[in-house]
Formats: sequence, C-alpha cells, structure tokens
Amino acid sequence: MYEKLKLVGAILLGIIVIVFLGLYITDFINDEEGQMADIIMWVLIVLVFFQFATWGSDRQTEKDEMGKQIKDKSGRISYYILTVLLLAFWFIENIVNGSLSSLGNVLILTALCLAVIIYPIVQYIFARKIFK
Amino acid sequence: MKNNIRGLRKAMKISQEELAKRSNVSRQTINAIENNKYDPTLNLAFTIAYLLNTNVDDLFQFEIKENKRR
Repeated sequence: MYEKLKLVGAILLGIIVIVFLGLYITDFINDEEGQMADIIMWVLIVLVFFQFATWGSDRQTEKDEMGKQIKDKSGRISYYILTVLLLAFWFIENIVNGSLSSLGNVLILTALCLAVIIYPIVQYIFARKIFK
Repeated sequence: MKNNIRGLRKAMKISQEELAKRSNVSRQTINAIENNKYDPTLNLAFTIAYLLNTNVDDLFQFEIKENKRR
C-alpha cells in the first residue's frame, strides 16, 4: 500500500515538475537576462534530484561497498558518454561552421583529446602502484 | 554467485536490518546479495559467514559462467 502511494506521489510530482519545466523553458527562451545563473541552478537541481532519487536520505547505502561499486561503474560509463558527446559536439560545431578540414573548435578538440588520454594515463599510474 | 543467506538468516531470526548493521553495510546491500544481484567482496562474505555461524563455502555456491561466444 505504502509503495503504491509512493509511486502515485512520484508520478504526480513528476507531472507537476514537467509542467513547471515547460513553463520555465518558454520563459527562459524569451528572456535573455540572467540565463547563466539559471543554467547553474538547473544543473544543481538535476544533480540533487538524481542524488536523492538514487541514495535517498540513507548515507550508509552510498558509502558501503555496493554503493562504491555503483559509483565506480557509473563513473566509468559517464566518462565514455562524455567522451562520445565531446566528439559529437566537435563534429556538429565543424559542420555548422563548415570547417571540416581544419581543427574546428580548438577548445572542444582539446577537451576531447584530454578525455581520451586522461583515462589511460590514470590507469597506467594506478596499475604501476599495484603491479610493483 | 548463489547463496543461502536468507535461509540461514531467517533460521537465526535475524532481520536484514540487523544483519546489515552487524556487517557494517546498508540493508539494500544485504537485500541485493540475498537476491543474487550483487556479489560481495571477500571481506563482507567472510563477515556475513561469521555472523551466520557458517563458512563461506557453505554460504555461497560458485557457478562458472559458460562462455557463449564460441
């Protein structure tokens, strides 16, 4: 019974959030002032929401060995997703600006190169510590 | 890896919360282990075995996964 109530509550809350988000996005597009602060605020809201949805108020789950394994695996998957997204952004940026032959957006390219090389470097350092 | 933690725990009349508290992990972790969704570390496996007055060999049944890509 309690689980069903929780599910209904979550669905209702989700619908309310979607409605408000829709209203907010419309407002955000029409109003160009203070967009940076709004973006940061939404990033924080999404962060806190997923953090709470995953771990709830029980800190023990997050800190024990299963929590750590979940964090490790999701960290690794996030890293791959981020790398692929950077590659996609770099390509899109090049297509939009029509400069496929050149380096394109150097900042995105730098971030992409770093994303690709940081993992093997960290892996090497970590492996050396264990292999010794 | 299969296990019979639930059976032994119930035989000893210990709740998941109690076992979790004594093993210093969360109730969700004990639940995931009992449902074969999470394989504990050696440390936790030995701790649970100790708390349930048994040994790791009797508590966990290891199954070799067949390699499907042949």
